[in-house]
Amino acid sequence: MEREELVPRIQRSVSAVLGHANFEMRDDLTAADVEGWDSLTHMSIITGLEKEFNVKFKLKEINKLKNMGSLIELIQSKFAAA
Amino acid sequence: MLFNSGAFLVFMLTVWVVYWTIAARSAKFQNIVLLAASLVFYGLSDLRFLVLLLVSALVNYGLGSRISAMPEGKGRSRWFWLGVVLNLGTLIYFKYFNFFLAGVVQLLNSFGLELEPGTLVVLLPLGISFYTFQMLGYLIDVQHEETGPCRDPLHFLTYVFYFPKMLAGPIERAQRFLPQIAVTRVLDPQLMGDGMRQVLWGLFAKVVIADDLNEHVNAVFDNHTEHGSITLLFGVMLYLIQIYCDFSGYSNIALGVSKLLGIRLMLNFAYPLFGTNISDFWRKWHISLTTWMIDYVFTPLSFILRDKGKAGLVVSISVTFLAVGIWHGANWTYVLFGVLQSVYFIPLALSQGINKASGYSLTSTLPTFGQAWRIISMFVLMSLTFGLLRATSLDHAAAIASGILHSPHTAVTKWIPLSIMVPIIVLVLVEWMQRSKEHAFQLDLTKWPALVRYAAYLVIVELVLWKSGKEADFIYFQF
Repeated sequence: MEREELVPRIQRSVSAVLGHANFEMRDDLTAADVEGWDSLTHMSIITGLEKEFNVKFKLKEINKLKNMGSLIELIQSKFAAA
Repeated sequence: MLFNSGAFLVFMLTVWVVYWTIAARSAKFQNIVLLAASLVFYGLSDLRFLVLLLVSALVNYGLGSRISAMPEGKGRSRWFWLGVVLNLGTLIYFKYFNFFLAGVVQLLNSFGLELEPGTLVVLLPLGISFYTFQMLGYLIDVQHEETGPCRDPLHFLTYVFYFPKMLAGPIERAQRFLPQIAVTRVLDPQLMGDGMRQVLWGLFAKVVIADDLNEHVNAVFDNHTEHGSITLLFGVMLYLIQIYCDFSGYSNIALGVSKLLGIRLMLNFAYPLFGTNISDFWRKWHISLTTWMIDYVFTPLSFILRDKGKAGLVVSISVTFLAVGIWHGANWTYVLFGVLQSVYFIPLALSQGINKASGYSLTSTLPTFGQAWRIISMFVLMSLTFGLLRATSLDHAAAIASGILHSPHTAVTKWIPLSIMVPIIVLVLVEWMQRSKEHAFQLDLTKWPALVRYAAYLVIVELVLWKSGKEADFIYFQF
């Protein structure tokens, strides 16, 4: 899947969980930069993304996410592997 | 050795001078001083277990290296699980052995056996819960390759025994702490000033409020049959204020002392008394424990159970809060404490309410009526639950709860003097005004005139000196 298609869908999915879209989809965006995105809401966001893209993540993959760029890459890798 | 003692003042002054003079030339010298000071500090507090924890720390250091060196697979997992069993086994032996023994005896007796409920005298090493969780977190992070293993035993032991956090946290993460001691620390006057202000605010909360409240709270809890509903309700509310002032006071002193040594520890409290719902409260209370529980219990569990929908979420929350409750100690009151927290939390989680921000501006002078109502309701609810941490048994807790609900006597039979009430009001007002800041005494970041700020420092110093002398233990040492 192309990045251009992926990014707005990720943004919509994250916004739906957090209840706001006050963040810019930059590669270096971290959870700490986004209001309400903390370790408690993280799992809701991940589950939302799994549903949105119909993919399954591994816990190890989730634990290694550093920023939005690595999240986009992870989702892309799922489609590349399919 | 207590932070609020004259002995600690002398100890800290000595460490500070050596650390920033003779040892200032390299990170290695600074770490040697920190480790030596930390071993002395722990040895003076609890010499009996110093050797045990030293051996345990070295075993964990070796396990971290071993896990990291092994390729992914069963062999690596075996070393990891060995570490988990060793650490949890030590904690369970020291902290929960008699609790489990009594439970097993009770269970067997319910089947008709007539066993004596014998107990083993087990002394509890100070700080064992905080120590164990740090070690478990380290091994899990190495196993999941979230962090590399520490390659320097001096660094590792300094991380484990670092005296500002050794006895009651914060439960510091290795990946946050180790990089800070890998480099030579340079004396930063601004950080130093901030550290001193934080220590002062911590001492104010502990010495001026928490220690004085102790006598009042004890009078209510220990003689609950003599008091009516209003006095009992105020008693449990004052216990929440006491335990908050005691533990946030301890944490502020720990963070401040650490800043004096050029090391930043993680934030442990973010004004929890202004929490507007249960999720908001737990995001602000004992943050190093709650984030630990979320990262190492809630996240993996909710991940495994994510296909089970709401049932998976309910189980994850229940197990997490049960772990939070039991972490406090071996008593059914702590179990009930955990159960009640999940009962409050689950409806909010199921309605997606945990994702919402606290709902008030961090700069507004006053909360709206609705926010004030939520803050006060939350405070009363948490007071009733935190009373379980003070009650000696479930019967004791039930008697107090029954007294609050059913006592026909409403007359207040235990008044608190103005000398305690006024400092509490000052603490609440200053913390409200400063709630956007890392700690409440960052008055240098306000627009207050210099004269007012220095007057405030002087008043707090005077109050601390006036009230000091009791050198009372910190409540969280028992956990």
